[in-house]
Amino acid sequence: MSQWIVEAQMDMRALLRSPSFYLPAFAFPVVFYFFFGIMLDFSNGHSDYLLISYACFGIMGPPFFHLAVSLASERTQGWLTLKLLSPMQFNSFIAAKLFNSALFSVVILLLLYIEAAWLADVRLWFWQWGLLTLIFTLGTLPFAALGMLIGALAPDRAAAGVVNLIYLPMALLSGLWFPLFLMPDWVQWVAYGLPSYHLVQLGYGVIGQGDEVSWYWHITYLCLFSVGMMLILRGLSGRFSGSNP
Amino acid sequence: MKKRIWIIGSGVVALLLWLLPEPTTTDDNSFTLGPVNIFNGENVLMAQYVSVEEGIITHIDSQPPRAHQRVYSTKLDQWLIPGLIDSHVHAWGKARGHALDFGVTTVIDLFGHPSQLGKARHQRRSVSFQQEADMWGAGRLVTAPKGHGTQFGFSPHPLASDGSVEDAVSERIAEGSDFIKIVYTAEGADYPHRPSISYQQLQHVIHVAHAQQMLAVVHVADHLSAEHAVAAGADGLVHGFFDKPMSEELIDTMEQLKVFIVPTNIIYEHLVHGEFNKQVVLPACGDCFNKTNANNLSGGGASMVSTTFYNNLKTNTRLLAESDVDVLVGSDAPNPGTAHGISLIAELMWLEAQGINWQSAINSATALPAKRWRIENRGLLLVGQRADMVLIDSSPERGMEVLLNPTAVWKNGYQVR
Repeated sequence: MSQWIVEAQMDMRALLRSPSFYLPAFAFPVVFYFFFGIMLDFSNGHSDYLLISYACFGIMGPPFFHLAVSLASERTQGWLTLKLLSPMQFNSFIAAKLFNSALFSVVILLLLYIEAAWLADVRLWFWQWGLLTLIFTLGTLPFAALGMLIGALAPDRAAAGVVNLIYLPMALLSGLWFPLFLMPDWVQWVAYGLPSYHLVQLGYGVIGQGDEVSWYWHITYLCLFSVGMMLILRGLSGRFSGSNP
Repeated sequence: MKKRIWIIGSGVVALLLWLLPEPTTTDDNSFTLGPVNIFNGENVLMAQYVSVEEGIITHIDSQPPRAHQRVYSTKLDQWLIPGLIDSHVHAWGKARGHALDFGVTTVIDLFGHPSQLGKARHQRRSVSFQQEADMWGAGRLVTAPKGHGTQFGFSPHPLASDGSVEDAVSERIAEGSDFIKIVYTAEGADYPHRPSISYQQLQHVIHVAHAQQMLAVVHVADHLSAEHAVAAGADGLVHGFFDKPMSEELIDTMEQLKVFIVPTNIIYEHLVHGEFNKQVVLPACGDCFNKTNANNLSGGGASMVSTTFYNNLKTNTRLLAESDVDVLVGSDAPNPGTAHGISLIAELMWLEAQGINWQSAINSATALPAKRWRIENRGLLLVGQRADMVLIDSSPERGMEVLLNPTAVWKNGYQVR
């Protein structure tokens, strides 16, 4: 069996033993969507649009928290150094975490889809459900990369706090909670620099409500962002090997 | 083993996605409708059958076409009119869906966030199924710093100097505005409610807009400001006024210069009298409107009660009807006393109550606004036009209230209501 699969199985086992990780990850987007996308008329009935917003918000959580917190923890406590002394490659370690984050994101998406279809009468074509799942599953990558960066830099006890400091403002400033046009103009300019803005626009595009920018520009930005993060991480590789904790 | 887990996992996800509900499939947008009485937006036709192919009207005749098509059967008393055009709204959220409930298939948004304009443009080019009225929009306003419009949270373009006029117009065009809306109150007006741009700036903006082939329409709320806007070369006034009866001179000038007006009578009636919704529209509506929204129509209002103003409003409606000025029907929804869709019908009922001929009234909400707002393929039932249509149970001549409960509404040839 491949190294990364073994690592993924072990990592998943650890995750499933941590309700403090998966319960908020599942509950927040589902509950927020229930209040803002279904219950309150604030949404003006745009439950499909808000489904995309909260789906994006939901899938950002697992890669952010999982990569940042577990990486910071395993790095600070020396587990990562120990693992890297074993025959396991660092790439397998990361691939396992990326895979599990994506898996959690798929579960969040399915929960949101069922909630939206059942309680908000959201109706989408099969290809739209499928394409959204594909976009948001692959869309975990830039957030995983950012999570890794936080995990590389932050001490284990501070990692979750740092993630929240980035995750929540990023969601707000990307228009995931309130439409951008209700916010000052400068927020829109900030939004253009955030991966969550570009990812959610791809999602809106699936239901015909994306912005004027072509989808390939959003994908290009997300790829460049991910590659940029990886290059920075490469420069910080010493922190993973234990030579510079 | 590994492969099997992948296959089972992917299969479970695919199965769940497949089980999720899809939109209800609607009938296709090709059919023949008739026999029915037809008012095509300008005239009552002798024809009785309308055929639609993929959302476009292909045949209007006294005989059904020979080609085999799905037939939408109608009753003898029923009438078919073009989808209505509301010439003054502020549309966000579900507004365009509510408009469709009352047969309003196109709306003119006269101040909204520009982010909506690109989507609206994309949407109206398509003849695909949609549950919303099409939209043409002005986007942001051109107004004075702290002038009317700046209080709504997202920034219009406040004109501080003559030098920024070109920028104001070119920015609107870049943002996708379909026309330029300017806010103006004349110095010395009866109620200068906020700072306004100067007359020279007004002239300058209109001139620059015209140089860019854009319509320039002006928000005014009093007679003097209307005179100035017309003199400055405005294409249209997007409000009427009630401070005084329209002067003969103003009407003559508007006729000569072909300046149109969107009087927005209902919102003014709500302000100076506050009875029309309560006494006329809602009783005729019955349960055509949900109770919460009905309260919005009937509640509040009458904050400037004045018999003089009310009489001026009625007089101006009559004077405009007797003139050759193009009057377009617009609701200004969702401002106080109005709601999307129903308030356009309320405007038509107001015109009817002032004795205006039903064909002229419906023309003001169909073919005429399409022409004046330069909207192609809407507002008329003619071969080649978009199949945006409303079926009603009796002639509007017997009462405009029939429009409160349309029997069927087609948007892009799809029956949506």
